[in-house]
Amino acid sequence: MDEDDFTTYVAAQWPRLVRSAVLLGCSPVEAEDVVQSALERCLLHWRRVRAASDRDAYVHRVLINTFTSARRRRWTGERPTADLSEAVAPDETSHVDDADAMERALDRLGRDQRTAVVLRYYAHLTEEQMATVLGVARGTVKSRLGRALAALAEDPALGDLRGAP
Amino acid sequence: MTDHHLTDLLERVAERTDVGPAPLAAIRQGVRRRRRRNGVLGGAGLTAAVVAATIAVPVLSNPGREATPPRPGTTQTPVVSPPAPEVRLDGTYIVIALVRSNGRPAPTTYEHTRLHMSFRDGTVRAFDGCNELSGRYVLQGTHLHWKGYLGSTLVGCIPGPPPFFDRLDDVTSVAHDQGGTYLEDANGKVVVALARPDRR
Repeated sequence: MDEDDFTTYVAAQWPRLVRSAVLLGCSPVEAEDVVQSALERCLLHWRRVRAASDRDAYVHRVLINTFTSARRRRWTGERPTADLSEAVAPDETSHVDDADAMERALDRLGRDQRTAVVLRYYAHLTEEQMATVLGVARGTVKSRLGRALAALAEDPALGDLRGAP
Repeated sequence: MTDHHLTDLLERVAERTDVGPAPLAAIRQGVRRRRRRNGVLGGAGLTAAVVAATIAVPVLSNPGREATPPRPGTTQTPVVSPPAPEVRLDGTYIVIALVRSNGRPAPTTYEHTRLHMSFRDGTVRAFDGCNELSGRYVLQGTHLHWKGYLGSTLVGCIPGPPPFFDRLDDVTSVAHDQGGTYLEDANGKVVVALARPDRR
């Protein structure tokens, strides 16, 4: 029964969870690893997940914790930078689309703000659910979202989108 | 930029990632591996945990709970052990020792609140200092079986409370002696040691 329920849930949610992890900042390969690890943790205690009042919020909480732990362990030696020191090839992508701009803008957000944006506008969690997932007060969720939206509004990559409906 | 527009942009970014089918077999394999690892670590580390708990919690040092060497010609497997006396679970208990799955002791308080649990008429409730858990149980002899699901509230707590509820999943039996009441796993290892509030 548990196994069937878990299978159904994962089959339905796997793509969205992986893409959530990508939006949080994982590479696609890392995202699949993180989500797989998170789902293993969930399956270990699936009856508790089933009994949770909000299953999606529960799974997202495990996902965020797994992602955070993975980031603590992993040190790639890379440092994000806004500008490359030199151009090694002509830019063939001058006609960047809105999604490119959004991706770059996400990269410039801090971890907390980026997580807040993804949980609210991609995972569609309510502020109350986010407070539970992130283990912070609802007011903290509001302020993180507010600062994130202000940063996105000021982001030069999204300049063309200002005033968009 | 409206909320809807932001959602639309995130959807478009997300859709760029090709996602294959869910690796269900690998996830199940990973769970089996985690369970095996927890079992091995639990077995290897529990000696140290029990020693630590014995020092920290005198009630665990009760001679009745100490391991006794097997008699010649007998084994320690539950199958051939003489039947244990019936135990009772009734009323409220405080947690005086909690053993992590890796065998190490875990705190028994969170934010100055003692972990505790209660058993009454087949209903179990527990509090880890942050969230509440409730469910049904069946006690047959010394065998404790959680009936259905143990549901808990989901208050986010930073830092996280002790792994009390996680460990309850491993409990399969109950033992009792003068030192207290013990919830044990399938290998007879103590997971939680309980005592009546008035005994502490």
